[in-house]
Formats: sequence, structure tokens, C-alpha cells
Amino acid sequence: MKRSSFALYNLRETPEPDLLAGARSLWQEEVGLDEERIRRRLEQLLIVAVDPETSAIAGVSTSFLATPPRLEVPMWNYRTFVAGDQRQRNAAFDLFLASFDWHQQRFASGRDTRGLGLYAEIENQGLNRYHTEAHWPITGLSFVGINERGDFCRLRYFEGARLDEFDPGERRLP
Amino acid sequence: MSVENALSIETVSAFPASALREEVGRFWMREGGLAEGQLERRLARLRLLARGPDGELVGTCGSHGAAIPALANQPMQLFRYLLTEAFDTPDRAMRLIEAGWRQLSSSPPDDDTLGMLVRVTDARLPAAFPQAVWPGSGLLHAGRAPDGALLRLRYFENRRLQWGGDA
Repeated sequence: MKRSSFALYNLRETPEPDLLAGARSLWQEEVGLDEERIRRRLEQLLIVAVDPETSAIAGVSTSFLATPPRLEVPMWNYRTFVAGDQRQRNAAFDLFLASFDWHQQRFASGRDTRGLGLYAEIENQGLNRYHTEAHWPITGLSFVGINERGDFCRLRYFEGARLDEFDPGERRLP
Repeated sequence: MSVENALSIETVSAFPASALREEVGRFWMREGGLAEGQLERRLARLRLLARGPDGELVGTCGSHGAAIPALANQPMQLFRYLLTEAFDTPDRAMRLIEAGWRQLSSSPPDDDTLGMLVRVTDARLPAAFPQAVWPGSGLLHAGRAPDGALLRLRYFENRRLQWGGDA
């Protein structure tokens, strides 16, 4: 993996209070999420990217376990949000790769094999219109359809993932 | 490879010789896979032949361009195979799928086709090959079609989604 130009912090493993507060502010001020949705996102928070020059939060990633209905297998449902003034610096790629690596390592070690890969429903229509490769080479995400809201769905499985080895009791995506 | 599993796979040229066309036509008639008037259309889609240890024809593979509803009607090469009952095992089916991917990906169609897609309707295949990404071909599990078929796909390099203006 290429070296990131951001400082990346895994808040799932080490929940730094200052960064949690920064993520909360980002969702509140730039996305306009209400308190309930912010609380849920904080529970799902995974990686925070920080601009090393300004110490500002450049972006955040979240993941939660659910089963996309059409796939019928549990996946880590992945979201990312990049601050408006950081969108030209590939923070989204860095966040994805750090998030995937962390989940992949846990899967490979047997520490957490509940999800078979990362699954993203991409709401950013600019991304969908301009990055139209069926398979994104940098992230390894492949297009697998469009959901009811018109978001593009992409996924990448973990190495060694098997469709016959997962917990079928995980909740389904709406 | 044991004799029991012996299967040789041949690539079919774009314009198969008449003797081969007749052999394949007889095979399809015998195996019940050919309806009236379908011979020329199916020959145009023919890509691979599978032969048993004595050189007898035991299987065929073909592909054709199709818009896939489960993929928002994106254009894919829909890959199909037919094996005689005696030779129809998951291992052999997988060998044909892998050979199909190698052939299609080495010379992808010169059009908007994004990649190769297999509709899996034989429950023995996912039971024998439960990997989310099939190791030989790289075809990944992309869910289930409305009719219940499991979908496996892999994209050719640098192919772009087709929208016709509206995403």
C-alpha cells in the first residue's frame, strides 16, 4: 500500500476523545446529521484521516455488519466522508485502503470472520459519473449493481472468504 | 489429472469447418440443447469444445453479449456451458469456466462489453466451489438474479460502465 499523505488513526481500536469530537463536528457541520444519526455513526467509526500540517480532520470511514439483500452474505457496509476542502487529495482512497486492510487482517487471523468483505453503496454522484471503471483498480472495488436509491454498489471480498462460512443471523440491509 | 477426469478443451475458430459444425449440431441435438432453427445462432456463439479421453465431444461452451438486469442492464458476455450427463461434474464445469475466462479476457470483444458473467443454476457448483472469488478464474459472487440464479462475474481491464447519459 502506498504511504498516505494523511495521518490515519484507527478509532475502533483506540478511541481518541479529541478525534471522536472532531468526527462529531464533521458530521454535524458538513453533513448536517442529527444527534441520533451521529451517535450511530460514532459507533461505526473506524478510521480518521488527519491533515498532518493543519491537524484538521480530512475524512472519516465507518463500517457496520449487515447483509445486502441481493448478495445474501454478510458484508462490512462501508461509508466514507471527506471534508469539503480535502476532496482533491485522495483521502477517500487512503481511508478505504486502511479500512480494508484492518478488516482483512482480522478476517485472515480468524479474529473476526463475520463479514466476507467490504461493501459500499456510493451516494456521491460525481464519483459515480466520473469514475466509471467497472473495477476500480486502486481500491479493488467491483460494481455489482444499483440500489433503490440509485446509489452504485461495489464490493471487494477478503482473501480466503467463503460463501459457506458465515453467521446467517446478521441483520439485513433495508 | 486422472483418466477419469480427463477432459481436453479446444478453442473454436470464428468460422468452424463444416465437419465440426455438423459434429456440434449432432451433439446439441443429442443432448437436447438445440431447438429448431437455433443452430446458426448457437454456432456463432460457440467458443470452446470439451472432448473426453477418446476424443469424443462431451461438452461445449459459448458466450454472447447481453444486458444484465441485475447489473442495471450493463453489457456483459454471458457465458454458458453444456456437458453430457456422464461428464457433468463441478470440477469439469469449473475447468470450462476457467478456460472461458482465459479466452475471453485474452481477446475481449471490441465493444462496450464489461466482462464475463456466469449464471449458476447447478447447486453442485457453489457447493463444490464456495469461495467468494473463484481462485482459477477470479469470478466473484455478485448476488442472485430475480429468477434465483447465482451470478458470478469478472470485469475486463479498463472497461467502463455504460449509462447512455443517465446514471
